[in-house]
Amino acid sequence: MQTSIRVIATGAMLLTAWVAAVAPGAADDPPNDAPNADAAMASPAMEQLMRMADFLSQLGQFSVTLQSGYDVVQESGQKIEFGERRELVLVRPDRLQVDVERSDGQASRVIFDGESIGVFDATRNMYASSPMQGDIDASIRHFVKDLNMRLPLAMLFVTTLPEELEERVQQTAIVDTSMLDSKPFVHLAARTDGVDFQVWIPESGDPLPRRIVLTYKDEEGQPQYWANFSDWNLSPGPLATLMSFDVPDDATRIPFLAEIPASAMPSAATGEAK
Amino acid sequence: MKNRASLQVFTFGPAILFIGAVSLDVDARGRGDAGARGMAGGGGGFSAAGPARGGSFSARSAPRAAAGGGAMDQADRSDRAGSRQDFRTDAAQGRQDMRGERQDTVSDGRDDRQDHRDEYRDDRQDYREDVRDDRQDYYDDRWDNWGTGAAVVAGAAIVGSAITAAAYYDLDCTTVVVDGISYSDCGDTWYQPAYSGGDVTYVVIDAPPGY
Repeated sequence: MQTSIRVIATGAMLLTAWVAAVAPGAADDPPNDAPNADAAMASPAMEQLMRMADFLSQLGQFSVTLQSGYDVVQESGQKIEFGERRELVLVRPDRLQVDVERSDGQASRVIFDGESIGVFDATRNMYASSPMQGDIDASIRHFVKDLNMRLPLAMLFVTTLPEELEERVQQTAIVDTSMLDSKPFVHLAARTDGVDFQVWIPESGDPLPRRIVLTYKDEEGQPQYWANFSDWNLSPGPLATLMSFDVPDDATRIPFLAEIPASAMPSAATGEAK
Repeated sequence: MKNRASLQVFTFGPAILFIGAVSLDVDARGRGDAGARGMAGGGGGFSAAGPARGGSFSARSAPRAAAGGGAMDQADRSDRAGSRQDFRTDAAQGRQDMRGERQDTVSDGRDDRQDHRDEYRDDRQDYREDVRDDRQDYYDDRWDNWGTGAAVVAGAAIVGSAITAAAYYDLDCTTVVVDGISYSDCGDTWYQPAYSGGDVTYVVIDAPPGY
């Protein structure tokens, strides 16, 4: 019985989605194709995913610890895992701090304090800073897209997360209910163009992700990025005052590679290994 | 995973196409001889850079050259998208066959939708490449598509016109600070440390003013 209801709902959703797709504003998709707005939008799995997205995107502040790792498929075909631990503090509208400790011991910090975005490499005692006016959404986009800097799971920390998921997710499913830390978590699997991801969300209580796994399905060896979230704190305290970009006096200032004009580089760089 | 064998069969062929299409990029990185170094301890000889490193919810569209930061060559991106397209089509069919084994855990209507979606997803991919620039203001679904940045190999290797910090420390350089920015005079080449991706890299730079 449940299956037939789902089939009817599928048909209704497809019809509605088709009407929505041919409306102005959706001109980027070919007419009568609505790949993003199929029955996945109304499925229980998508509801769970959006429950998490809505909650996360509306939080005024939070801090969390991420223990993460990712695969690198070597030229030999051997797959090696590297990892890192991140401590993230976010206070909307415009304070963000990420402390990173890589598995090889290198430590760094990313700070956005409302006026500039900077990265401090504690291991090498170097820092880069770039002026940035705007909110966290704008600064994250600038950091990742324009400065070509790395901020894993950046999409989880913007207020437009629900819209991002609605646009990208093509298919979702509830895999099972997993027991982690002796508590039940809903295990969701979603597919987007180029990336599949799975997320574990508490069955009850605040829908804060416990674990996320991204699979780069079109890349050789289908490497994955995974992160375990812990120590979620929705009241991290008055940390706005602590988020100023303090660097040691003897730290060297360096530019972001993306900000170096091409004119400053030699036109015929031979690039030989030394 | 019991389907691993069939998955390897379906991805091996297109993987060759994929590898061939990016052979130029691999050659640039290949001098690290990661395989030859074997399992030296502490990351020696193993590359820590790859598409999964970004932790991004979108797949990269093209590898980014370290030099010039972020500037992607249009032709490279189209070519790479084309080769990746073939890979995805074949891989999608591979997954399609495997999916039959999971019939009982998937709702009935979904298989038909999956066939339909695979067909126009390929068309949509080509279409999307064309209109991406127009769509940029409306919606950019790849803004978090962080490429590998300065793809660095643990060892002496050069990507574009940048070298790794490890390679840099093997050189004999003098540091000069001009206008608050540090430059390194390494004999016949000037380097400048710059932040890209998650690492400091050393990029070949023209001599600073006054030198």
